[in-house]
Amino acid sequence: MTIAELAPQIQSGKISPVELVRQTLDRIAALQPKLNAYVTVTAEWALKQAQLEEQEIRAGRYRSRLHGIPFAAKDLFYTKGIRTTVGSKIFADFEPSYDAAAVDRLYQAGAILVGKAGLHEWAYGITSNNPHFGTIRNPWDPERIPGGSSGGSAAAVSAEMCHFSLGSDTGGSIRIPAAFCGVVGLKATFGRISRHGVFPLGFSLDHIGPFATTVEDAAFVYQTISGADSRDDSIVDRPVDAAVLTQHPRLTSKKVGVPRNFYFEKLHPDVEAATRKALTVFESLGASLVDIEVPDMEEYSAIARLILLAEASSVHARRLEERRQDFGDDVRSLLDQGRFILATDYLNAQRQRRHLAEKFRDLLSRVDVVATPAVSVPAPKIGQKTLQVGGEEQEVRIAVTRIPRALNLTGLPLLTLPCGFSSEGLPIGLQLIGSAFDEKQLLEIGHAYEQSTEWHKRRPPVAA
Amino acid sequence: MWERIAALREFGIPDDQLKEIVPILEALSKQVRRALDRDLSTTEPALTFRCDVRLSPPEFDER
Repeated sequence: MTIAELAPQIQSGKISPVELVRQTLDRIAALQPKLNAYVTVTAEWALKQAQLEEQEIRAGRYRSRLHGIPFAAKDLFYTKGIRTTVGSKIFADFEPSYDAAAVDRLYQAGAILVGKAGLHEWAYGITSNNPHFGTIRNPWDPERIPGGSSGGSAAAVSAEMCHFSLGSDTGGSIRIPAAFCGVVGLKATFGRISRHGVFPLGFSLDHIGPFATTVEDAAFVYQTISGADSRDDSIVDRPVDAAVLTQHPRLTSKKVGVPRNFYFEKLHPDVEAATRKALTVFESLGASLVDIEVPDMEEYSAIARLILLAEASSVHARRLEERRQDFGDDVRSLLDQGRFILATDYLNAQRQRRHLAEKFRDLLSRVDVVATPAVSVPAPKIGQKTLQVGGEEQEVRIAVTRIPRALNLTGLPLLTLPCGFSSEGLPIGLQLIGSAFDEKQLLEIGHAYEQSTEWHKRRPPVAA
Repeated sequence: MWERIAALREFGIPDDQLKEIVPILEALSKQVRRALDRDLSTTEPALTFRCDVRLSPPEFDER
């Protein structure tokens, strides 16, 4: 059941949060050995919390649509007294003394944490093959990756091991797993959701956002965790307008930008077919498709890589020197690469990103959203190093991040939602790019698309 | 060049691992040169800083 369906029943007392948490914990117990979506399951804590929330609701103090709803947080969100590993053996026993701002806001809303979701080590990678806490598996095919770095967060929602989850996105880490696991993922505008208490990867590129099974549910979570927070100096204090999500929405007068270059090149044929089909849905809802041209995204993707290499290496410099052997091979290699980046190149890359942001601002003054594939390919197999896309052999990491990475430079809000399946039965994601701080319109357009399709209703075989 | 930098800066990267990352650095360097060698002096970098924000307390003691 979705949060929208559960909420009124929880409020009226028809569904007990204690029972809901118990069911969720049973499901986690059954599926965790197959999927390894969680690093830590907070069963005892969650049941105690559920009892408290149930008493509150019975006493007439129903707080929000998230009251009594079980959720998971990527294991880089600080949780007071609950270990927060960031996917590293170095942090295996780390128990923060405070909660991340987003987690705290969810607690205030009455949501119940059932566990800390697994991730790529230090959130620095796209496979979620974690050398310290095990490989996280895709619920649609356990031989495939769920994507990363928020792999556990997306897999847990997809397999109904929680009702929503939190993730972070520095170069695609919400959108890639959302696409691969067939769920909705929202990377909110940079400065919209506080990162206080979220372990950093690349401080100028890190974004926060929710995973859910529908756009409406993602909107509930987004609205709860957004807004001013003086503890995060990137936060912009602007009103968070609630999306108006109607049952039979139309998109008359809306313009959907369709890039003629970059985004529809080097795609898996099933991804291209599903995305092109999605565009016809927008037309059927009354929207007009507008041909647009985007800047040289290959070059900006390299710039985003350079910025991230430098920022991540600065976070881990001392740790890498002192505990080199405690890093996985792939992450250690990336951290080594970052030590060679010149400060002048880093600063000029930070200058250059302003130009990309400006170009997208211009584009988005002519259209309401831009529609693209979320990722060029469906989920690769665990351990797969290369794949064939558009007649070229590409490294998995490069192919998977090709579309998502550069957009983190813009800080724009990005919504990923299911738009089809490959011939092998793997989910395919659509990406919608919105204007800065206009998550409202982005969610409304995403919801309209979702209401006209059935893709989001499909559940993976493992969840049956 | 990369090998010399690694040695001079005493990065302590074993030779076999350094050998793997050199071509990656070469390729990245080529990809970004055109963009970063432009005159960007009149463009503000995209960094944020506010002087009134306190640092979080140190949370982790690496024993």
